[in-house]
Amino acid sequence: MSPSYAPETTGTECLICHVQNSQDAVLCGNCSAPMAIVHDSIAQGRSPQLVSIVGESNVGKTVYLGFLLDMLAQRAGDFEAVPKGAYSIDLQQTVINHLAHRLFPPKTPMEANQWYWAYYQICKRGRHPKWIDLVMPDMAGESLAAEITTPKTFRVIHSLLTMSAGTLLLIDAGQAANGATQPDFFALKILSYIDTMFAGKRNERMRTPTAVVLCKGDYCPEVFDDPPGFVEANLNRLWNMCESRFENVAFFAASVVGSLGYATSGDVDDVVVPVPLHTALQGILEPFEWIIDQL
Amino acid sequence: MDYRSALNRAIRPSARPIDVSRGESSTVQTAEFPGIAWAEHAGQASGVVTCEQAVFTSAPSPMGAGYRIVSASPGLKADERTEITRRSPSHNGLCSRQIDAVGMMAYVLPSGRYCISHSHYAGAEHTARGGQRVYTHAIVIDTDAYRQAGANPVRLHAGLRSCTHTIDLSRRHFDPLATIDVPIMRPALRPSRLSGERLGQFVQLLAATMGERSWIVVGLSQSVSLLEGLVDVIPLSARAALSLSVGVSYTLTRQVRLAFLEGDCREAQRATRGHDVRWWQPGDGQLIDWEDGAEWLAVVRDYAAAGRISRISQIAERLVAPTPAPTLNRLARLLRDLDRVERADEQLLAELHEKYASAPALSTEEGEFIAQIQSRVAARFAEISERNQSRDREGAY
Amino acid sequence: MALRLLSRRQQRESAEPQQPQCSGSAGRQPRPKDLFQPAERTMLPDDELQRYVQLERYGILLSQAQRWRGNAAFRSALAQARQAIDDSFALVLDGFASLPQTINDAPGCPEIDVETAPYLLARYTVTNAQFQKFVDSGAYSDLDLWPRDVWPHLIDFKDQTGQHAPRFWREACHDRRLADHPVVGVCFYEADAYARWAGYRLPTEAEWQMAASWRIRSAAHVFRRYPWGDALDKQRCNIWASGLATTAPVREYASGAAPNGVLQLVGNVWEWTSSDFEVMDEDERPIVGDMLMKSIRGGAFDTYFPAQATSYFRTGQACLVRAHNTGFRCALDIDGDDR
Repeated sequence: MSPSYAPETTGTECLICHVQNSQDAVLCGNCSAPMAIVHDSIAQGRSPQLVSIVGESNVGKTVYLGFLLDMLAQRAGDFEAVPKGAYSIDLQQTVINHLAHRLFPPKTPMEANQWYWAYYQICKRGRHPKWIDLVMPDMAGESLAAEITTPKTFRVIHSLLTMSAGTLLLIDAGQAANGATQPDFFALKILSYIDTMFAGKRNERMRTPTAVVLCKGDYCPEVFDDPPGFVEANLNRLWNMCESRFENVAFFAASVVGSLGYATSGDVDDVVVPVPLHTALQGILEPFEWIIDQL
Repeated sequence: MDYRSALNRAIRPSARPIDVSRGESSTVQTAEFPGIAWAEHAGQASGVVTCEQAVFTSAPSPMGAGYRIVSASPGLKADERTEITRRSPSHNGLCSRQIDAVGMMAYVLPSGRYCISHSHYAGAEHTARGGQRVYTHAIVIDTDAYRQAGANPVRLHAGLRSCTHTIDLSRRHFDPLATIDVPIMRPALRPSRLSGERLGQFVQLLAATMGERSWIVVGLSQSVSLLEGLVDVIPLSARAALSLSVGVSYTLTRQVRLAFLEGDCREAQRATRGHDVRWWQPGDGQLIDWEDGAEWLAVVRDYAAAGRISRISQIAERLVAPTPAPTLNRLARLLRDLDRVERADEQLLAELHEKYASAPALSTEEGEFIAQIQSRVAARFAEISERNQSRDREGAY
Repeated sequence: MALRLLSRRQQRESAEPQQPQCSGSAGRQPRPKDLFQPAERTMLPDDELQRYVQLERYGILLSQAQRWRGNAAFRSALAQARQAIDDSFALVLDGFASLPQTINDAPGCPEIDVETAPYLLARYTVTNAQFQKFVDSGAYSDLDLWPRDVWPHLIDFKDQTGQHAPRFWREACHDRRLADHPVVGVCFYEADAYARWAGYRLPTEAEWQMAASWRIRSAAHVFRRYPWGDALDKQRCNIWASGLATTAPVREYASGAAPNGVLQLVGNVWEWTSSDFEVMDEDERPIVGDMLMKSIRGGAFDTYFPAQATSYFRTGQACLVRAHNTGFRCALDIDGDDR
């Protein structure tokens, strides 16, 4: 007796999964994407492009995206950005408010209706200003992991990755530097998933721009010295996958936290709470700028 | 108000007197549904059912961190794992933010087996990021075993609660789980009679469950106490496909037929706007109708009011094959006629005799009802005849 | 800059030095390899007094003056040292600093007041050019400058080419275009060693705060949120919002000076202090680091939140971290006669 949520009237097609929803729907009944994106894009008369920020749980996707959006809103670099709708501001507001109070933002739930979505009109200034409408969702790492392990577990992930005009793959550089293999395997899995979706021939390589961002550089400052070298040395499976199947890939390092402390009472059972003592932004804008240049 | 404490109060009125001055309800009819205990089920175990099990929560391991099935019994199938992953609540995923909040989900898996899960908060996540970690213990039951165990997910959930366990999440490696023997609880005490508001709620919820739409029910502390009894009157065939959640935050993608929410429902309201999901708050005046099965509903209402709901339960348990609304309505008419037999005069008995002398039975159950009616009509004729004869004899004397 | 995988190997095997294919962050001091312009090394005279003058170890010259009384150039060297200290240090009056005891210094949070005696604080943070002299003097090999428990770590205090020098230097040289920029990529022990080598010390956290907040003893009990006043003005300091995205020369932002002329107390680079970093969270649990943390103050060019670049914002850094945005300035006690 699983219900269906067939709309009473055909109305608006979801931009992400292309399922029809009623005009009143706030979220898509199929994939939970906010229908405001569709309404805003119709109002703008533009077709937004989608940039996906993917990575393992707790790698820092929410913090990265929150700061990126806030930096864009503050006209960092050559960028000018206009959020379309209050929902687009919620993520950056949450991230900025938490970090300003030296807290990490709450974990992103797997339930897609609770994800943050941002729809921004972005201009890269220059001799020939470039305007792009971008949609960027803040996906839960666990949902990504479940989808790439068992495709179609979360249809919204599949739709998002299918539609992405560019991908930012975030990897925990601190873990990789410590010799953990999990970041390498996760990256390999997600690129393999994307490659399978692309379904290219043996000698064809994926052209969608993919920025590999080594996060949490504050744990491992050396990562900033030579990001590709770091990947080749510490994430060799990923490196080889990129070389074999991805034509348009670049490597970056990024960091948000300048110094990390830990609040602990010293009791064995006490949860040690990481405290971002201050921010020191490095490398947030560069991978995004590279993606924009490729679009 | 935390629904669990409200329920406990409803179940155990002696635990703390109701304080009307604090806005607490003084109309909880504890005597009507004393048995359905969310925290403590009043029924006794009558046996066990062996189930597959899985634990879905957030814990670090060599295979990755975050929410996933961290351990499961070997008999759990791949598509079942996927469905449990898709449906289980993740971070902060319960309606209440109180640390002792609990949630329940029940749904059919793609394999046809039935899943019942119990969720609770399990402290902060290992990353210590904000929000509360949710720990879900899910059991998966074979279809036959589910039916043999009463096919009542609320009661099976009570059994699961009595034997649930929390694995040590501080470890980085989790051994596979074995199957688990879940106690089959006997039905809690049934109400002797339902009346007024409670009777209305009961029938409304039944209409919501039997209809085609999805419903969100707000006011969990009152409504959940009807759930166990409610499921008992749903035809067994429909119970096998029932999907419901209690105390778990709402998302469209969970695809539950009946969701009981509590507390701040704004997110659910946002999610359901423009979709074919109805909201019902007991006492809000909105009537849930199920026109297709109106006659069946009317019979259930009358039986519940008369304290004879167990009769409906007995019938429901026998409805193994799919039972569409017209079939239920026919059964309702048969049930009414069977009742009428008992107080019928000779003329009515003659009409019933004529009506059912060659009435076609569209199902085994209908056939049995018709046979019962025929038998009772004959018996009643005999009774009346004997009574008339004895009256004649008395008159002759 | 896109990394084209097809050409990646060829680029690496090429004899010509290539532009890095990927960037870490804009604004970090180390320049791309082919753009690095090494500064000249310091030529050291044989005469010890002249050498100390050349190395600008003026604090030592003053505090150990009697060592060179027989030297013909003694008086002129002493005069030069005094003049240099007069020029580069400013008097910080006695006062006190209120140090919040919890990380979120909301109104009403516990504070302790620390009294500070008058002292001299360097007007500028130590520059690459100044630190070059420390490196060229062989200070990294002088074990007397380093605490015994740091000796095992000295091997890690290397530049990009494995020489003993700040982290972003090459071949023990700074980029000459950054000569007047603050030295960064130095850990607390390198900062502390430099200060003692030159005859100075690092300021305590309370001293630093007193200098930045200018909370002198008065009936008003006021203090400044910024050295120049209470309102943020991103033209007066180098923080993220200022848009420079890298370090600035230490003599810039004159409009952001403290009342006594000390520059860049807020912004440009975080500054090591000699104090241990000791605060609690709101549940009164101590905040600890992976290792001993020292208090750093003032914010840097990449400090995103203006509230983290104020005279009273407290934060810490693990004492062995050699961050791209952390430098230091020196302090000097006032002896009885000078007061």
